[in-house]
Amino acid sequence: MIKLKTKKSQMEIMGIAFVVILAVIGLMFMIKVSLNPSKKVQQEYEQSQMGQNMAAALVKTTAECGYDMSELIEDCAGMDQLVCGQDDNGNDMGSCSFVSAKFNDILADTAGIYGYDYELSIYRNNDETDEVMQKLVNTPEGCAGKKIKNPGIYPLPAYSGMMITVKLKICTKATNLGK
Amino acid sequence: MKKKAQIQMMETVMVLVVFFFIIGIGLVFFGKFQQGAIKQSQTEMFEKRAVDIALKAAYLPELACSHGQDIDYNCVDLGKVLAFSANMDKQKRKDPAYSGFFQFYTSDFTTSRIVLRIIYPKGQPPGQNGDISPYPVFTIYDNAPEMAKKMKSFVPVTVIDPLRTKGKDKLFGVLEIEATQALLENAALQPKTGP
Repeated sequence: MIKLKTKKSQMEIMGIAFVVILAVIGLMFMIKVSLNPSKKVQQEYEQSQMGQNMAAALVKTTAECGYDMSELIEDCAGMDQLVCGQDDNGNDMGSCSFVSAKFNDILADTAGIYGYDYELSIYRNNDETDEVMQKLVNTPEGCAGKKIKNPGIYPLPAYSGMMITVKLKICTKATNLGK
Repeated sequence: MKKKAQIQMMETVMVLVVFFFIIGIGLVFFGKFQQGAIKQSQTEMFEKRAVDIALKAAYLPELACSHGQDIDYNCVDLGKVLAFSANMDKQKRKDPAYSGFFQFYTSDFTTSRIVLRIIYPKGQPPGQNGDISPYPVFTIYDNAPEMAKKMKSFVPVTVIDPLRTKGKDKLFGVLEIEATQALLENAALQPKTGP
């Protein structure tokens, strides 16, 4: 009689163990699936393509004064002699101030309106500290601390073998991450 | 003896009730989880399709700038855009002569809306004898239903206007692509036929 009872309780323990094992397997499966990061296809595309397209389009654009932005950037990196347009007070604008103002407007009217943060820097000879003009950002933090796979880079050959690099980072605003 | 059997039967029934109750909860939980997963994969598909449309629009040879044999894909020719959008006009679609043109692109662009917006220079009307508004917008393709979930993406492009300084000046524009959720259901539209 005692032997029969022991066997029965052993069977019950086995049953409970089986149920617990099943529950643990189910839970592990759930955790694994829920931890799998969802792919933000559009976000990835935008970060990898948009910067490149935008940098290229910006540099190729022709200013009101007839110079291409690339020519104005080259001048800005060198002598800053060219005059292009006037500011709100009617004063002539040099190439540096013109490029800075127009790029700022264009970026604000595009990336800014579509809800992105951006960071545009123009520097000499692959040295990011050797800036041609001050970095343009729409928010004080810009894209700092955000991982960007492919920032838009547009190299411009300039006088006496110098290379100017236009680098544009476009990143998703923190508030847009869940879109 | 009879009472003991009844108790044992009740025990079995209760075990079965609890067992099915747990199974039921599991199924409901699993169903909810699956629902979320399906929604997520639907969103992913929608995003992929939206990106696909954006890329197709950005690299459409019908709109790209060309210099002889060379095609500049990051550039849109405003003259081509005007001709293209004229053929895509909603009124003209009813005309059998133009409906084929529209149908040709429905398999690629399905239920989306594609416009070209000139961002720079501001207030300088490109082409068309100066009769375009300061912020010109050209509708390239419009087949988006009003009440649908939309996803906007934009592709910055250089725009040349052959009617302005012989196409030398390059404007800055964006191709705005508004993909709608309805495009998933309509993804399998009729196959391409010649215009």
